[in-house]
Amino acid sequence: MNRKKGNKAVRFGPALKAVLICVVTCGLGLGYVWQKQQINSLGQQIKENEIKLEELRRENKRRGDNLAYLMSPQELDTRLRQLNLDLMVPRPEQIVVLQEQREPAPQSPMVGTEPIRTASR
Amino acid sequence: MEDNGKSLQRSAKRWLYCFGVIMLLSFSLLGYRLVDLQVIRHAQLSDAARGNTVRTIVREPRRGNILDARGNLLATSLFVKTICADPGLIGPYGPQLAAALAPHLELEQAWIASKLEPKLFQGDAGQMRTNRYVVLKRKVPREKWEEISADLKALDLGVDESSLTRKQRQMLTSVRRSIFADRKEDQLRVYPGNRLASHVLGFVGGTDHDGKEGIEAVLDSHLTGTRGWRVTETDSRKREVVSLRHQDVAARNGLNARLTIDLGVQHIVEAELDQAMERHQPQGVTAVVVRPATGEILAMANRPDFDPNRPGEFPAANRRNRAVTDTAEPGSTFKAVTVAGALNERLVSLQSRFDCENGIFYHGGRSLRDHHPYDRLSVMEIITKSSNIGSAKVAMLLGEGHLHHYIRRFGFGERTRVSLPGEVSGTVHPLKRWNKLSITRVPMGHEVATTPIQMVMMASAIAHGGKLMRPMLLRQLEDETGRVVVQYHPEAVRQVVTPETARRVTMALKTVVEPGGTARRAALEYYSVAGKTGTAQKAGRGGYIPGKYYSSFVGFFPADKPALCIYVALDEPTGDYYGGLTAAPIFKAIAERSASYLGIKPDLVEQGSMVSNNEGP
Repeated sequence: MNRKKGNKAVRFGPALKAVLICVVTCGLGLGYVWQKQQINSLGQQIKENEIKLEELRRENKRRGDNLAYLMSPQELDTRLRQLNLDLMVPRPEQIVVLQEQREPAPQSPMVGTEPIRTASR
Repeated sequence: MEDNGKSLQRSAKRWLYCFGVIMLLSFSLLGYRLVDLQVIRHAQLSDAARGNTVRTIVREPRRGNILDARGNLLATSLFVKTICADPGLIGPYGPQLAAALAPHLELEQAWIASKLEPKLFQGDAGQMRTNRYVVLKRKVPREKWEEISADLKALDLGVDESSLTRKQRQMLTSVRRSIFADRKEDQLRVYPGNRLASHVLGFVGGTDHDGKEGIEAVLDSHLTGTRGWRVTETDSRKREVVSLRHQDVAARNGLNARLTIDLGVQHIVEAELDQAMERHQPQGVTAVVVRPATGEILAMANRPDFDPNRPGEFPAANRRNRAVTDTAEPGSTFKAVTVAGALNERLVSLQSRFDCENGIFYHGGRSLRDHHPYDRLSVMEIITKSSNIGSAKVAMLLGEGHLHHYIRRFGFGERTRVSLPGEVSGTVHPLKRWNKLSITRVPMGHEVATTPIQMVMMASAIAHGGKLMRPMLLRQLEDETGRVVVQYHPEAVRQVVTPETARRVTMALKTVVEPGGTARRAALEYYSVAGKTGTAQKAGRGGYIPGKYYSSFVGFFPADKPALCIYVALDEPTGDYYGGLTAAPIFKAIAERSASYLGIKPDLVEQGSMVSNNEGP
């Protein structure tokens, strides 16, 4: 109709729509790729943190084991001999036992809500 | 012109037709290929594709720790590597790799080099193949493997790599990668105390890391844990794509077992047993320390022993827990059972007197002798002096039936159900198999065979008001966060004799360590002790073996409020062989050191300047 009427004005509406559709499509595509890249990046971070956590656990265990070894009676005995500290077990008359007011025992030492299974062996 | 145009039009149509046919054929071929790949060979190809990317990783659980009563570590597990090689990738570089590996793996270089040489074998289809997997060393710590990997990366193979082509460089990389750690993680069981409590702990063995002896065997299913798994996908460089994890189930580590054993007491006992081995050079020595009120075993040790870190290096005899697997005639320690029975039946009192026949008593055509001649002894003195004739006469008054009844009531002839494998029930003959001499021999610990654990539980029953407890070795099972999963409680087996009877037997046993008794060397400076010595000649084929004895002492302290009951036995001591001279001093040393360590309140002397009513632990 407009052409017939000789209206030479540029029609921005459809062009704008086309551009908008292109932008949205491109945006969605880029967003999808960005999201995938983020997922991948987070996956790598998770993996790295898992490895780090595992290493820390291993190190913690190694140190715990080392501490247990250093605190074992035979190791303490050996060190006493090496250092020549001349330590002796106290005689009963050298021990003073102090009586302290005992606090009431906590209601439940249990963590969590699961009941303890009891058995005898 | 018109003809020319028509001809061109026909030609174009022909070309178009040909093109159409070609396109149709091409698409048909593609369609066929598509159907072939996606329909006909779908299952096979999808499996192959999945095999290239999808990985199933088994997540091994860590075997639970074994802890003592105070939480000290007795056994733990470490994840370790199995170092392997692919000889097919090594080529001529075997000697260089062997030289680099030998110091790390502590193996001979020549042996490694021979393992790295490719071996040819015939495959299933008849084709020749080289082996692709050899194990160089198992149980290698992670830290060691990291060192090895770093050294292999920097290893000089004697080639100028800068002048090599890309393909040649890749080949060298594959040579370095030919030494690898197996994907499946292995575990190494570590016992930080080495030989300490080895017979209680046992050891693990086999490819599945199963418990073979001791607590390791009894609690194997609880300690092992449950495997987890992860199904995931990898990229072209074999790196995991975390976002494509399909399943991720964590392994459930084994439960930690907390024992009643106290590492401090165990160490004291083992140190004293080592000294006893030097001093008396016996075939074996056993000691068990128990809390009479609960039946908790604080220490159990034997010599000879073994190191559970390397059990294969010791003879099988060293790995036997003699406290539960070995029986012996107990000798005079058994007189406590006889007297307890007679007192409980109110047939005698501690003051009742018996004629001890001046040291020789004929019964059933055979003589029974005492070590020293006694005229008349009270029941208490029979225990004090350990009179065989006196105990036989008490038993004759009690009668065979009652004596047998009390022997069984004290738990002899049946397993104590301690949580250790290989326990035996000992020997108590049924009444119908008793002969006319049995009534004079059984009361002094002959014609019966008992285990050390039975003897210590019998003495504990007397100490605990006549109540026999089940020996307790397990306190609780915990998960790795310390949450208690299973709690074990002391378990009374039965009331064997009345508390009053137990008190009277204790009174008699207290005289054993007093002047005139057989075990003055067991007396403690700060604690009253009740106990009984035993010296039994060892039985062999055809009768008793001259010069071979089984010497023992069982006692508890403080006598009137017992905190600990200790049994010590020496198998074939050399030199002195009386229980009062061999086992009693060991009892004393263990008792003194343990009492100090546990803070047991003395009953013969007051502590320090401020004495409270606090109990020892």
